[in-house]
Amino acid sequence: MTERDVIDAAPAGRAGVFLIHGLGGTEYDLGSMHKRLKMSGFITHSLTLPGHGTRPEDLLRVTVDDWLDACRARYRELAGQFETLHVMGMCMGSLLAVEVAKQEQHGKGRLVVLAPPIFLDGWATPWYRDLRHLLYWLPTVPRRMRVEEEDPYGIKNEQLRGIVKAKFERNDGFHYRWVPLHCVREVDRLRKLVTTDLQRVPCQTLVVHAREDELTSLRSANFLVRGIGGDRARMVVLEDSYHMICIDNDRELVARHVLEFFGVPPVEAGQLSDDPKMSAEALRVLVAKVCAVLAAGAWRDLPPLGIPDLRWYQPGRNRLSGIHRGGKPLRRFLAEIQSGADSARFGAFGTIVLNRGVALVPASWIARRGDAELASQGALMIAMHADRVYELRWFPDEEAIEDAFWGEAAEPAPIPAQTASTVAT
Amino acid sequence: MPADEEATSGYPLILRAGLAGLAYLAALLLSYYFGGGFDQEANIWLASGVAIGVLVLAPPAHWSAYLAALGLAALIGNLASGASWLASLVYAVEELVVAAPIAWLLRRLLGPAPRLDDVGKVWIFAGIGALGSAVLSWAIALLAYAVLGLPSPAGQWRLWIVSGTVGTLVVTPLLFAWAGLRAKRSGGPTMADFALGGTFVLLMVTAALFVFRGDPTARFSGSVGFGLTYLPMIFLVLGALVWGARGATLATFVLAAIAVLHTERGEGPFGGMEGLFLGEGTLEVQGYVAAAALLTLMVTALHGSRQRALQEAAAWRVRYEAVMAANDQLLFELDPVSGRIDWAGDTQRLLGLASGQIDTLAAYLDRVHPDDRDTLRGTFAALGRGLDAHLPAGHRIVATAGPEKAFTGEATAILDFDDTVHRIVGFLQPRRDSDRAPAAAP
Repeated sequence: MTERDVIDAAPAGRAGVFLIHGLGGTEYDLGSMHKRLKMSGFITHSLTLPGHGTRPEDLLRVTVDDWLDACRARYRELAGQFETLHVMGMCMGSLLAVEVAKQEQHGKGRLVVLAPPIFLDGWATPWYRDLRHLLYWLPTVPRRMRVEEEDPYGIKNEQLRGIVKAKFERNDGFHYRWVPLHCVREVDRLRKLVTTDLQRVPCQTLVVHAREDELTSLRSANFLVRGIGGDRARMVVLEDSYHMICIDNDRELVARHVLEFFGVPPVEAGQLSDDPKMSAEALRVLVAKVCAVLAAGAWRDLPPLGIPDLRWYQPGRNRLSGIHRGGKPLRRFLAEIQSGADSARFGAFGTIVLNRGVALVPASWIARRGDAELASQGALMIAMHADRVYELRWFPDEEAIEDAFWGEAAEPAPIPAQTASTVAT
Repeated sequence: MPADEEATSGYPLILRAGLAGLAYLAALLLSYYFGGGFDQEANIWLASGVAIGVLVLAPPAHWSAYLAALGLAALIGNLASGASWLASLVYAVEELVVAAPIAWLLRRLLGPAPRLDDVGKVWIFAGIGALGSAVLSWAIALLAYAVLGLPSPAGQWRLWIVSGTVGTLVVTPLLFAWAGLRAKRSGGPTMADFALGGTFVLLMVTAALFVFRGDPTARFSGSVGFGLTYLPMIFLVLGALVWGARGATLATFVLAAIAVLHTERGEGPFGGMEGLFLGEGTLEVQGYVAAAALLTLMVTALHGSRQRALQEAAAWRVRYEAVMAANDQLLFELDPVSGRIDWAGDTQRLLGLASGQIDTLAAYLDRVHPDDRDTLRGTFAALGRGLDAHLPAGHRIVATAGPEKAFTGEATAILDFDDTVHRIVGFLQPRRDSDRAPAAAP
């Protein structure tokens, strides 16, 4: 991580996030993202794009220039108010976000691009999709033809899809039921704009895209990452969502990645803010199990107590330091502990302090290697959710003691992986 | 009305009626073209099918505009075919007099936006819409021509009725299917299905051209040519299964056009041959097209019924899952003979176990806390003997990880016709504080 990255990503307090919704949508497109950002200390700002928030017919009056002008004006307004300002958009809003970042030379923060539809080539796009280019030329057709929202509504989760369907039937106004073909033509114009001079996007960019996006394939995300450049852009691929990634199965993962990308400590970005869905008794029992495993030095028994993406945060500048997340990295870390010492275990556990789904346990890390001994005092943080541990953090009182015992890192400490699923740059 | 609202509220009625008239005229001219020209009798009369289809789909309040457009098109089309003004006028009026009541009846029986996705609906359409309209048309023409002293069509009853029936069978479902087409953001067949269906239709066209084009005696010996007429039907059915009603009706129209056109030219197995199954080539090809159209309608109806059943099942599943998830419940069904348990609900979330890990009673009991195991085993044994028994409230289940959890629930034995236990069914849910028995009074 470069110094510039740290500055960009160190917000909360005086940091704002500018969110842009998609075509025919409202801020609901972004699910609980507003809430999650606010809970992490950001000040969120959004705008209702011209032609939105009223009735679909109003979209006939607007063009891509109107949308872009509105976004740029709002961006300039917000840029004057915040030291750090991140820009974020969903679907068409993500294309606008890219274009704003490019045209305004956005350097006050980062850019998050959610489900960008650079290409309309998802698995459920209709077979006649390319005929639209012919229809654009016919008189009155672009203004008269309606493009309707239809099952699966961009949502993989059947329960959520049922809710969205009911909202559409009730005409709840959270999203237009249709948009005129004229608007699709405007989005096509926007696509052309966005795909030009992508390398001019100056800021760190996170592209989040679902593999099963029914509207636009991963090709779009790859195109953006390549166009902006691997040094500035990275991609998170979601495995259990369709297009509406902020409200579908992976919404929690999306929120976590976005918050982490904005520099929020992973613990806060995780499920700490949520109900742990466990009783106090269950939390204590699970903490006791973790402590028992650690006290026995039975490191292999630790992963089964956690989620597949279980993370261990190990501070310091030694061979164990870093964030060891899920699967192989975590097993490698645990194996490193065992190979680096004749015996290693935690002990002298103090009184457990519980706060929602997080337990803080005073403890000592005791290890021996030949004549060398480690007895490091500190506190262990155990974050839990739904009967599983999802994060462990060790806070030693003196890192230097541990650095001396475990020895210097043979290679740089692992940089936090950008995804729980797939990372591509 | 503001300009923007008018812009997307649909095309003006006059334009829509005009398009319907043009479609009618095109169908009429095509019918003559397939029949060999204006001086020939049409082997397949497509125009009536357009009139019926348009009126079924149009709201009755707009019928006057559509009737005017269809009548005008019928008049122009017949004049162009060389008929006299009087005969053309009689024909136009007769077409409307037949189409209007038939369309009204079909709207009553099938609904205003009919989908032939049910076998019963197909039979209603075929009986009333196709055959009924053709018979009515011939009867009215007979009467009108006699009253006006025009040459009687009595001798052409078979051609009149069969060509009208076949034409309606081919054209009206096409209109029904495509009328519902709306541009969608997503949904409908995937590109892979579209390509697969397209391949089948392409094969159907190729097979149809192979069978119906050219002199059959030069290519096929004996009855091979007749046998091969089934070949396009196979691809037609496969295409219908993949593409659904829209693709199926379009493909049927194409097959009908190829078969009728080439037969009229004396080509193909039915061309210029007498003494066949139905007596003459024209009637043979009409029967062939009718069979193809009905077969396609039946296949799409059966496919549609199945799709509907699957959608209803999925809707029920989603509903049950919502209830179970919201109440933290798991449903189970135990076969007392094999000991197999089928679970419904999120066992991973509630029990910390995949359903496959507890798919037998023995596996489930293994996960129960040792202190509760014997009680629970006894409960299931009692239920298995058909006795009344209740699941122990608060029996604890130990997952692979995480703390043990206490569960409560109910179970009931379903008795067979001979009073033996067929299944044991019930539900489980985590014990809540409110489930605990109140402490006994001191």
